Amino acid sequence: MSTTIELEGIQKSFGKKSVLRGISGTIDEGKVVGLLGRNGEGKTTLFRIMLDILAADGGRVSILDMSPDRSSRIRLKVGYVPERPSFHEFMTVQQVLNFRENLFPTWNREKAERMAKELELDLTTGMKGASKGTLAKTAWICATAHNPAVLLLDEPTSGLDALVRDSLLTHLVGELAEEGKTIFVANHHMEELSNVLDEVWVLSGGRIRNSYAMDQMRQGACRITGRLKQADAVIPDLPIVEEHRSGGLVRWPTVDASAVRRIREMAILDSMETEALPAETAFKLLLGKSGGIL
Amino acid sequence: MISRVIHLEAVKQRKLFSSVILILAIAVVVTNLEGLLRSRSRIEGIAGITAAFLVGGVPLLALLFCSTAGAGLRSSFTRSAEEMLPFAPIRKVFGAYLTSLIYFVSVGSLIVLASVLTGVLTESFSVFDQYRYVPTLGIFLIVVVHLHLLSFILSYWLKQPVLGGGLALIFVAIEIFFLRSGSNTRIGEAMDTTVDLCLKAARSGLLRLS
Repeated sequence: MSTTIELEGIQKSFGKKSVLRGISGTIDEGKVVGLLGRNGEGKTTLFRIMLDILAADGGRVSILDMSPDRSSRIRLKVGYVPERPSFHEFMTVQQVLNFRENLFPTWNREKAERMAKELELDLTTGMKGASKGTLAKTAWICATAHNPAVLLLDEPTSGLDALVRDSLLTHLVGELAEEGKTIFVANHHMEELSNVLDEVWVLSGGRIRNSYAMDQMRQGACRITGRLKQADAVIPDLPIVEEHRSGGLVRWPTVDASAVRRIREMAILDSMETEALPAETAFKLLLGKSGGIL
Repeated sequence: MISRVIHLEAVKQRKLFSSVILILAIAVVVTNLEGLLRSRSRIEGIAGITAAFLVGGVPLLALLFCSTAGAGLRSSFTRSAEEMLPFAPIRKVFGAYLTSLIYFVSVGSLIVLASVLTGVLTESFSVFDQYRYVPTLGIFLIVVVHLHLLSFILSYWLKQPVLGGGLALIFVAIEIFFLRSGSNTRIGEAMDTTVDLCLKAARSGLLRLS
């Protein structure tokens, strides 16, 4: 399997504020990777650098063996759904799609029409004053109808109701993943994508703090509770997200399947119970670890 | 790809172009109606308004088209609407400038054509000998093109059409002043002639309208 996306030490500052401080990572072809981070951590900035919209201060980006060079050729091969899509207000949905058809040599008109039908998008709708749903659906079609090998989705369902979110995320992302597209997605509702994700990166403090394989996370996300044999015992490095200790009673949430095994091996607890965590809680835990929200 | 940029820019700037054409048409109609009331010949009215447009309108249009196009490129709405389009930034800027130039030349040509047909231009030039004809026209064109380019650059840079256009106008006025009072007598003379020509055309227009 070849590497589709390579990031190496990406740095970006706005004035004195350093947003990205050395983002590195690789995404293999056909993988779906989630980018988890709190607001203002630089997810959008990273996407914009990858798309050759913003220039990085340092580091290297390679997507499909292309690097941003201000020529915009990357955008011909990559689909992007921004958090707040916007289109020229003097156009209708149909005109937006027609215009893009002229710009992208690989544009598939049938696919665009089929998607518009599936998403129940009225092509005669004007972009001036269009609803968030219309904008998001149009953005999805624009991002995918030219058959890009790579998709960058930046909060692609932000502000949409549950029904639209479901049709966009569950159906489209699943469908695209099945087609073998490489997808890099930032989403506040990452749990909605847990079935299609292969990996999750946690962005914090301008760096990728951790990355987790989803298989491992699905199996390993649990809360371990138990009583310590020695109440003041110093516990060696465990793959837990955080520790809650009250006397000898401990509660250790973890997203790593090896945590339970290691605790058993170490025999530090008198009694131990594990409770599986739903995906939503697991993602919150990851964010909590990096930002302390839990 | 540049043709696609120009196509998009043409659609974006067409509202301004249509408005200018509409204003020109209304001005001609109003002048005609006013001429009828005052028992003046139609051609006199059109000649008068053409002279006014030639002297004040052409430079103003240069400012208007370019500063709007330049600042328009930097508006946050345009940027977010166009950031995913596969246009290289340099092509986008070049395309916007070229489109505004095409619109400006179209309207400018219309005004110049009208001024030739109504005799405004030839009448104004008749006071000058053949020797001065070419440099005078050249200076006028250089000033207008300079105004056009400068207003685009400044409006793009400042993201403000009024400020950019205003500054461009000030810079060009200073430039004209220095060219008139500079050490090169030929340029100074040509500059003087151009200014005289503009004043004469304006006077001619006002006389026809009065």
